[in-house]
Amino acid sequence: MSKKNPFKIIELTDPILPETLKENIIEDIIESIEDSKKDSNAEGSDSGLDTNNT
Amino acid sequence: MSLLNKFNLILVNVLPGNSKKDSAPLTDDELVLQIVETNNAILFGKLYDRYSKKVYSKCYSFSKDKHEAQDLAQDVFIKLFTKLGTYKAQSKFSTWLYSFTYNFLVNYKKQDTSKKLKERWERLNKYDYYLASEDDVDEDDLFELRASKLEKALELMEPADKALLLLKYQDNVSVKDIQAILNINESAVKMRLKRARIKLIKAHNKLKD
Repeated sequence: MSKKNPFKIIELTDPILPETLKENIIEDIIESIEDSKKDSNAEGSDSGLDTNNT
Repeated sequence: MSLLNKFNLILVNVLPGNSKKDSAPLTDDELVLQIVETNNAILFGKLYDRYSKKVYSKCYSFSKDKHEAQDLAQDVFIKLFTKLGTYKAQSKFSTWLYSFTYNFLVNYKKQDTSKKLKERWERLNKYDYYLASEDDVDEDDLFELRASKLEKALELMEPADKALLLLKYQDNVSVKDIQAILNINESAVKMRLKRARIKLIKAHNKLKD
């Protein structure tokens, strides 16, 4: 009988992760998407002002 | 509206039965493409569901602390969202993701300023030239190692070597795929693997039973 690969034995196969981990990740991503939208809107407004000024 | 409320609101729209595509689950590549095209964090949650345990396990293998591993997994997934567009489907998505995770962990460990750890790596690396000319370790010999001792020996290794060994022998990634991921030629991959195997056996043999 062949031995089981020890690299496989030391791998955690079914860790229990808190549900909050997923929520935190999604929240962080949504937040960063919103921040980048705000930034790009702000840049858009700035360029509008620049155009009016010229 | 709080972010979590928004999250719940959006979630309603992706519950089973609300989408035509629910009958046929998306492949990883299809899911990744949709996330990249839509920048949709909730779709990204599906990718998280598929791979969170694997990513966490890899983080845990580098930190050995449950809370640190959770923080690392969170950072990996947040970085992953911004880098998904760089996945070019040259290997399976899972292979690419494992490599991405190991890269993150190796860089994280590099920032570890623990003097003791640095000294240990330097001591092991000093023998690099010598190791290259040494006889290779048979893969069967690796599989003869006791799991508990293997785990300790991996702890003594430089993170990049440890990552390479885990990619090859735990995740079963082929030399060809490692070549594509690391963007180096076949002989370079084989040489790195050979050095890593020798270092592992040396670290293993230094350990007391």
